[in-house]
Amino acid sequence: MRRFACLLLAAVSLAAAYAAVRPRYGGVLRVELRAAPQTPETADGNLGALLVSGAFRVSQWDANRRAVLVANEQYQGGRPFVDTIEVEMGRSLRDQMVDFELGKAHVVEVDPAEAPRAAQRGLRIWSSQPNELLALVFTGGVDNPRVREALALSIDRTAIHTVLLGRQGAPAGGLLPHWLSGYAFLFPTARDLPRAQKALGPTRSAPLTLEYDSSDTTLRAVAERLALNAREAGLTLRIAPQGGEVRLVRRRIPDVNPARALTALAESLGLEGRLPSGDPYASERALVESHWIIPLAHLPEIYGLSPHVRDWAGWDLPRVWLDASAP
Amino acid sequence: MRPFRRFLFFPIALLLATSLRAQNMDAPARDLAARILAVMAPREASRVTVENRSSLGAAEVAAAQRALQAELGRQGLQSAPGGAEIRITLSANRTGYLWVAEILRGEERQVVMTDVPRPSAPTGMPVANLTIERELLWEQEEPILDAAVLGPRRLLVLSPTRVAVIQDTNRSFWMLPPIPQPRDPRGRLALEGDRYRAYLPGAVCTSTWRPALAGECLPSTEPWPIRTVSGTPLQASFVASRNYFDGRVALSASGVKTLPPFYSAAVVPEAATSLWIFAGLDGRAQLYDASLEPAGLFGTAGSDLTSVDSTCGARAQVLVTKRSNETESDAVQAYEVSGRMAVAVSEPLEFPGPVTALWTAPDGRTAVAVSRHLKTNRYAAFRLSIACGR
Repeated sequence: MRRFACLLLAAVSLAAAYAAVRPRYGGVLRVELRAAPQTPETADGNLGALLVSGAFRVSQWDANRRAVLVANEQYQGGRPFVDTIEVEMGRSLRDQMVDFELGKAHVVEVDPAEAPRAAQRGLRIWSSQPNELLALVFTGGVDNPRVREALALSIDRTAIHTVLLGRQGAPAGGLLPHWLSGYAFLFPTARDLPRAQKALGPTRSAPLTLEYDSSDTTLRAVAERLALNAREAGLTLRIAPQGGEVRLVRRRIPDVNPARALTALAESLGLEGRLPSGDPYASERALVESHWIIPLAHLPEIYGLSPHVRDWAGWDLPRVWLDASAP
Repeated sequence: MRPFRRFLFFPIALLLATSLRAQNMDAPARDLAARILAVMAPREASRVTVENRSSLGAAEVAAAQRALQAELGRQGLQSAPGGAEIRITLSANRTGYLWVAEILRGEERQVVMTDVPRPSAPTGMPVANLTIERELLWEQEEPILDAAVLGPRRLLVLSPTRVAVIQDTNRSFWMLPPIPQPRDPRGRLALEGDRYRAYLPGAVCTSTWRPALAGECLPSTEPWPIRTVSGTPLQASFVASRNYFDGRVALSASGVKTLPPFYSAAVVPEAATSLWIFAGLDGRAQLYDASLEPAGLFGTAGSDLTSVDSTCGARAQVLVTKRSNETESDAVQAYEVSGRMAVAVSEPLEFPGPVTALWTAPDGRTAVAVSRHLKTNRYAAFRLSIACGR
């Protein structure tokens, strides 16, 4: 009897401890995105990169709405594990979360502010390293460097990071995240209201208009907070969906090489003429200290993942596989 | 990495690694000190602080601090309170460590920095109560699909793009023609005297390893040899564009049978016959009798299992992987089959990353396990054998 019990225990422990397997082929991966490209050629970001890779072929494309991608059997990097990816496009973050909780989607984008709450509800949340820059960019028309400096010094990055960004990522004083440059701590992020007021001096600045993408709820909340911060320094910042001297932008860090990343970032923001040449730190410091760009935070990509999704390491979808045995 | 080196003295290796890391701090300390002195005025007084923002441990930080202080003094820095403040930060980025010095004089700040290569992580593993003995055979950047010991200090290594013969520090390669590989590539070596066959998904390569590596690869659906029992090999058909066998297996005694698709197979003796175990795609390992008829459930297993003969216990053990995710560490544990149930007979042997291949060696008494190190991403082939006692 005792021997039988031992054997039973050993067998049970095998079942409990040894549960996983090699990647499995097959299945349909359902993904939802905010982006809503008209055609495969106009898709950018992660979806665009996936299409360019050739790992999947487009079998159906409903403009701005839905795409069906099928695995390329001849893909050089090896045939992807899933047979098909169904991409629902143009879905708001709120709708994505609803679909995710109803089990209609395997992979959804998650608002940074929503991520902690989603994790608390037991949902599986995945965050990348901070790889997106949230920043203010002057588009011209604000030639007085003291106004730009005053705005930079007035911003309470800690409050924005804590309250509006759900503590995801990190406050940023520089353009490149610390994991990439190793020197991000050299760029201060603390608010300095007295210095902001001193920089502005007694002269009153003309009101500035802050432009942001009104479909992005995170940007809207940050823009409203920036207007409050600026007012305390004596600056008037009006927020509007378009036509501002200052733009609130999110930009993916485009390269893992610091020098190339800086150049590409500056180009994408129309600041290439203001980025001096030199070593990455010197170039970045000169651009940041000119205050033509005011870094605010580095944000991670955040996704909600179904328990069936395995080997997720970011949007490397050819390596992702679906575990049908997951709960 | 030197081949054929046993992991028996891990604590010594760890101490050695720590000592080497400390020695490696002299060069970056010298470089950073030179950069700092270059922006200092002659005989300018200063005070130095060091802060750690990296993953360096306390001992390494202390070693870095000592190296920096020594170099700054040797190169002529005058240490005194009240002068410039030199704030040194031991930082890190994607590619390695970064030591940053801020030279602060009131509102003025100058910054110099130097890159410090990240030392490769020690590959040794803690050794505890082993019944599975492990011997490192070889490690490399490219995936290892299988490896076979050809003789003393001589090894044959199969990779997706090449076959290599490694003898001491000498290596010779045969670059394979382009063969479409699935995303989770697998392969198998079979030795036949001075010749060998390399089984790859959808192809078989035939070559000699002595006197020189040369041969040809042809598209083929030839079954792969899985395991030989009493001189009879079990052969199974591999699916060319996948990572599993399609289920068609052949034992000369029972002809061709079709089982459910599987990832791997093992065999152990049962009375005068054999018991087969197949790790299925559903995560369950099924038992089959000597005629390859279903004989029950072995348990829920990892996708890789194999078996080795030994002089201990039931004289044959099943080695089973514990892979739960390709981003996690892994382990191999030995089991015996008793009353057609799995009984653990060893502690799990930990690996620093997923086990990507596990095959029985031609001698039947050892197995080759390949593991991808999670930090270095290098692949290492180990020879596993069962040691009696603990």
